[in-house]
Amino acid sequence: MSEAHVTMGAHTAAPMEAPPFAIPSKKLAMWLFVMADVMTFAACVAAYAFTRNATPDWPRPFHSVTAVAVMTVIMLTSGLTMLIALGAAKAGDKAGAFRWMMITAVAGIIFTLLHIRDWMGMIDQGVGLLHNPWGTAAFGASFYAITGFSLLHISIGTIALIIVAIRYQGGRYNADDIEIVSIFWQFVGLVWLFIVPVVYLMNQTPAAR
Amino acid sequence: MTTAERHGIGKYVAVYICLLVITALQFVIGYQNIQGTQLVVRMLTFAIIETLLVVLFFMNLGSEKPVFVKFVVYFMLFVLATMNYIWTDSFRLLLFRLTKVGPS
Amino acid sequence: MHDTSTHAAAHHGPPTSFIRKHVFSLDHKVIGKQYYGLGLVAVIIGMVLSWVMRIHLAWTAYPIPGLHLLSGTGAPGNVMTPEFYLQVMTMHATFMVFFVLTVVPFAAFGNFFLPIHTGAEDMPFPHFNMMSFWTTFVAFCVMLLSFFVGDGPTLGGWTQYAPLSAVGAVAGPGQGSGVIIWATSIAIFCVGQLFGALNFIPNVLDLRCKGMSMWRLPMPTWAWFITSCMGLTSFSVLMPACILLILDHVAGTSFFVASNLVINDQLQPHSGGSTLLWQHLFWFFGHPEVYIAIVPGMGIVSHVLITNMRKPMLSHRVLVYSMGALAVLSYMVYGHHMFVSGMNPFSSLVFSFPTLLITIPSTVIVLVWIGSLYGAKLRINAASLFALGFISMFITGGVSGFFLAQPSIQILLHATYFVVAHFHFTMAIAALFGIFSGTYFWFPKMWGRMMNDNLGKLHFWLTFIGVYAIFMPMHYLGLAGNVRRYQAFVVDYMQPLVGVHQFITIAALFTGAVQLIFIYNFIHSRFWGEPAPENPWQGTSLEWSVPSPPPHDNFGGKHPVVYHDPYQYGVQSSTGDYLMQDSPEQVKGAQDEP
Ligand code: HEM
Ligand SMILES: [Cu+2]
Repeated sequence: MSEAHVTMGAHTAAPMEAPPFAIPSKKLAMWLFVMADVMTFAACVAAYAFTRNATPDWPRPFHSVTAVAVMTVIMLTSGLTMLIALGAAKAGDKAGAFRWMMITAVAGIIFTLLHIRDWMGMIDQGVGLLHNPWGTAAFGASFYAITGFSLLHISIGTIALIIVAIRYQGGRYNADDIEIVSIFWQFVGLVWLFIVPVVYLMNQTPAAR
Repeated sequence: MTTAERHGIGKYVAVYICLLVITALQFVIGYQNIQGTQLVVRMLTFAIIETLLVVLFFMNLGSEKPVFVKFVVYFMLFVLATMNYIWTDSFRLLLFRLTKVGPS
Repeated sequence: MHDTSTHAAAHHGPPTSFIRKHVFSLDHKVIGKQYYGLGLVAVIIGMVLSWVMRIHLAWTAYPIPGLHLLSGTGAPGNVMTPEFYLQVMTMHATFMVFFVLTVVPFAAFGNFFLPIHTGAEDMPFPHFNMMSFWTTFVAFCVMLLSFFVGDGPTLGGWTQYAPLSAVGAVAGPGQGSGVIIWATSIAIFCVGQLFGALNFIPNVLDLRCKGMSMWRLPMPTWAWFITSCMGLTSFSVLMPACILLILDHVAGTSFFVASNLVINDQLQPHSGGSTLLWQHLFWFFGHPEVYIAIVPGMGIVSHVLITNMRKPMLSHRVLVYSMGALAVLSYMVYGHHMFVSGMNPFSSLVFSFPTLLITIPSTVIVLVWIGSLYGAKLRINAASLFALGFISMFITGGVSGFFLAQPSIQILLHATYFVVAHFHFTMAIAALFGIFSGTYFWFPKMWGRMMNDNLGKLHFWLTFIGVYAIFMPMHYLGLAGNVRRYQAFVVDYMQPLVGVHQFITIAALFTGAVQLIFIYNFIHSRFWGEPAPENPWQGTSLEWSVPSPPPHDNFGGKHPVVYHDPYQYGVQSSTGDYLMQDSPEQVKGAQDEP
């Protein structure tokens, strides 16, 4: 996003070949970045899946996942508010776009705080990278590795949202830039939608039969 | 909400509700007494449906040119598929551990 | 979305301050040269390290003057300890694979020529491009640092196999801080290359000038495009793998360490991980990486050969499709590095099939080259000789690949000098010959002066003989059972082979010394060479339509328009036997498929 001051097509447009994908380069670059990032997460999940599958006594210790449910609702909703912001920006409603982006960013902040609270709760229960009350040490390590990576993305995404919103307000960015940050935001939301079943729900204590 | 904001939001709200419902189903499954392969299959099936919804609508891939959609989808499916070579070793390790021979 | 904004051409004025011009430059050409310089420094370091190893292998007790400067404890009396040998080997491989073979053919030449080939003024995101170089530079400095921190660099080899790489200092010198530094450096490197790929792909897709359809892109640009697609999804797997490795170290987790391991008589506290997991993640990156190193060379060699044959290849498209097939297959074969690692034998079977398949596109590429060369009147100069050398190395290395691809044969050959010969011919020397070929060919364009061609030819012949003398006997050593990554051959059955090692060492020192000719030629030509004309080789692609070196925005404010396929040779035009891509002239016999 640091390229915004580079005039994009604003100067006497050079005659060019039509781009095959017919999307702006910045958006293409964001998609490519997302594709690379998918592989980064895939590698982390592969490490977790490999270990978990091969561990016969893998624990399923989570009793209550209410907090996770709340976090999921917040994350999904923030995806929707992001899209509302994008729609407003495309329709030229600057104030609305800014407002909805800020709402999205606030959702991101609340999510981050809840996530940290969740972590604190785990740490209180004695779940560390090396030890946990329930058995194999790999449980804690892969839990923190995957959720930590995701948390990192979400906090970076929140900061990006705020920066883009402010610059959009100041006139340096336009609806296209909001669309790009939206793609990233939806992607981190999607990652969370994978983390919920794979990391939380599959480690949920099954109801007694 | 102004009219401009409401423009085209209906579709997104529908997808949003679908996503909420699917996630809720996942939570229900999580609480039931389902284990092993069954659990994985169900969770992943729902997660994949969610992926489709998010990627097509929230990330708006659905409204891009078909050639771009193909580029992204085939590229990703292919590299993700090649990651699955890990399973042979994971299951073999499990076998070792269950039979208490070989490396642990 | 406005229509014009799809062309995110980057326009920035020419820089004025020294820092902006030469250090933190946004100009893809300066960044390309910076990458080249980084590669040059790395290759010299890597080469000196290889000499040190070779001397030790042949004359184990011989003191190498000054060696103690490299390590506090590793070289008492200037003779390497076994551990220090492995540390030197690891650093040799790391510098070569990451900072030479990835950096030069892909990042250096690609940065300089890809935007010119597509007719663009610069990369789409010059700031990311600048960051790409400087992150790579930081990675390089971090890697160098490991010589001077703790007990030296890691000794785990460029593949950094767990568990010894994951348990910390107990596994030997350098396995403590050394591994952490290694993994940090490589993780940073991955980020740098990601920035690169994020520029290359949009440039090729979006910034092509009028008339430059995809099929009109010259071969190297196709190669860089395919390579960036590979880099995009392989470096991004190595990066988290390195982070998990660092976690195993720093936090004591056990992703890559199994339970109840006893190392150096100490029971390790780890439990529950698997060493094979690291190998899976590493080779998922590792095998595409070897093609990241070689595919740009294939593009460069095709470009150089076509220009010097004065006729197009038998088929441009078959070459492109084959390179694409290599890229696709490279993701499916990675387990052939793990045949004897304790991997599930069933997977060996599964992996050996695509591994044998991957020889098909390789063979097709070689056949297209040879078929095109057949009957051609090749101009002999340093660039074309190195291109021929590339083909020779690639064939030699490919043939040994056929053997290694079969699990049953590999049980014998794995971790012997046969493998060393295989990958040095394919990856190392072939890619280096691609680099040399590209340098002799493009030097006039990059630095605006001609290189001395006679010195170049001399450099070629001596190097060609030298590398065959070094690596051919290694096949024999491998078949005789000489294991790899050993610091001395004192075991009875290897003792008789020491003579061969001494021969190889002499050849290596000779070949290394020969590179001084290149360095002299490079430096001398850079400052005192004859000024280069715009188009010294009568080439057709866009880089030859601009001054040498090209101006800041490549085309001097003009917007190039392309009318022809990249390689219109053997035609009758007003300029001679070739037709530039941007010449509007229509001549008989020119193939202009859109
Ligand atoms: C003709 C096609 C090829 C086949 C069938 C093939 C097969 C193999 C096999 C089976 C191995 C494992 C040997 C062992 O560890 O025991 C190997 C190692 C290796 N190959 Fe190839 N290969 C081919 C081409 C290439 C090319 C084109 C490159 C590089 C550009 C390359 C680079 C390497 C490297 C670097 C290693 C050694 C890695 C290490 O252990 O450090 N190969 N090859
Ligand atoms: Cu390989």
